[in-house]
Amino acid sequence: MKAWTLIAFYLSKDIWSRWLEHPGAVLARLLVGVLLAALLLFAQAGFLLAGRSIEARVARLGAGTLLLTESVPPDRLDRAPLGELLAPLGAQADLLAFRQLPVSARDPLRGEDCLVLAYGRETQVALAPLLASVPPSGIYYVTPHLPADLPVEIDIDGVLRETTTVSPPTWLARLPLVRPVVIVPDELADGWLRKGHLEFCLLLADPARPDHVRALADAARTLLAVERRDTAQMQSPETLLNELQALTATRERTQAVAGLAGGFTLALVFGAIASLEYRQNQYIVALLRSFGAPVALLLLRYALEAAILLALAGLAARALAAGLHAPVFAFAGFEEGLLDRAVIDPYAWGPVWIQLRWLLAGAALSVVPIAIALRQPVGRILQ
Amino acid sequence: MTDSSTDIICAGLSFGYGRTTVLDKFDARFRPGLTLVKGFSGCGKSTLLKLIAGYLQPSEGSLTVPGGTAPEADFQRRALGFVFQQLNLLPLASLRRNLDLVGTLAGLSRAEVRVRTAKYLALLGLDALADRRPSTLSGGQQQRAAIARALIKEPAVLLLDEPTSGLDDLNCRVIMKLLGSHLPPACVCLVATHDHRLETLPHEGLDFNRFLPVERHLVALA
Repeated sequence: MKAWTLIAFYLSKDIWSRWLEHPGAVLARLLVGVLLAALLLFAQAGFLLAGRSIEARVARLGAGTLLLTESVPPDRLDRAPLGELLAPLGAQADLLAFRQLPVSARDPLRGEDCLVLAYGRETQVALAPLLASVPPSGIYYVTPHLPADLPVEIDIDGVLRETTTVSPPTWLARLPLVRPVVIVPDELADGWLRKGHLEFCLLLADPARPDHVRALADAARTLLAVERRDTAQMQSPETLLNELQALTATRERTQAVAGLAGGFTLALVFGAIASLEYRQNQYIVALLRSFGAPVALLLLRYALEAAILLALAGLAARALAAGLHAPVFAFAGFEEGLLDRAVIDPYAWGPVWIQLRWLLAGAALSVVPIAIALRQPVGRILQ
Repeated sequence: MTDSSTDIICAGLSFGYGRTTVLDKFDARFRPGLTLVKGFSGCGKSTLLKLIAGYLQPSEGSLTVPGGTAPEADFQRRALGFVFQQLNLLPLASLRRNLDLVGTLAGLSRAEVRVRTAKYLALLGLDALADRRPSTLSGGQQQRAAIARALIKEPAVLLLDEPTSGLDDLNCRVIMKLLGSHLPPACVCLVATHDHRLETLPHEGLDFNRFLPVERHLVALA
């Protein structure tokens, strides 16, 4: 063990001495390492921000939301409502059923016309946690223009009624609504419902589980087909999810290819410089071998040198990328909210390691020429 | 009476560099004591020493070193001392550290290393230079230090390749004194040389020229 320590000590002196003797070779390797690592980190940050931006957009558009609509004329009121038909799917996703009433409402404060939707008892259960509070009247006034939980009187078909304001939830964006909405319980809407209405059903599933969303859409289609409800229409986010999945796959492939290319380039540069240095130093290495020093230890010297240089390059690249992150990606057009590293940090050690492991593999590969050279018999080198 | 476990035995040894044959079915037995291997430059003396050390592999034949084995890593580490013609010392280590490293690799204890380092540096007149790096020494001092390093493990086989070539008489006399009276017991010492000053030492001789193939002999003579 002491012998190994002595050799390791000598080799570390050798590394240091060569660094001082040929600073250009060290700087070249550092520079290449920093550039490649910074490029990979920037590419990863770009992909991460782009992905998060798309995910946010998809979430706003309702990636996990299925929307089913059906027009119910007065002569078809005897049919089971869509909400009832889709009730079996309520165990797999939140089911919200609304009916748009043929009446109008008016906000006397703002003088704004509103749409009126009615909800049944089964939807009330699902609605309460989604809207955070239940007003005593059971009437919600969904408006982006007023603060939440504000008691407001709304004129519905000529009668003033007590409501509570709520901010529009994201799932509401899936409904084709252009005005603020008043949501009333079915008991209040019975008379209007008999005049015919437009029924909306929302199935809210987890957008992070695209297969589940697809299965849900298939199940809804099957239920509609079994009941011959060909007047019902369904808007499904499947296309959107497929695109997002394709984008994720492309991102992974691109990152892998970029990582491979980076690792290969690093292996070429580090390997070429290490080979040149080995040629200058091969007599000393052969001398150590002639004393019986283990080849593995001698090879480790080159691997260790490459690893040290790569670690230094990685640290420098991380600092560089983190420093330039905000200006570079703001210039690239990303939203300011996404650039806050407290929200998304592409330079946390986890993601950095994902990229640097390719370069580490390249650094390991760079000692292969040395390993081959070390197979040359000592007697062919020493004179 | 011979003890095969202390001898070096070459049996049908052949070796060449590319198409050039250097040794062709060479047979020899080297016993403990000093043997001078003499011959023209390029006749294969150094190659023979490297083959015995295990630094080159013969294309044919076999080699047995003291202990009855082929020359392998453990033999190189513990039982072999080799002095090359040029650049023998680790340039970034002091003389003492050069000897330490080889002694420790040979498996000597720390105390043994210390005692032997002092002994051989003194024997070769280098004790005052122990903490100097090789680059600060003369060629003769470096060569003596390389011999001290080879001797620290008190090897069973000591191989010296032209140890006195280019050295002045004073350095040569120090080395000759060592070879004449301070070789480790039962050590097989082979010196490849064409330095006639070494002829005065009691030795066995091996004229290597007679093993040259005729055509290479003619080239060497031309």
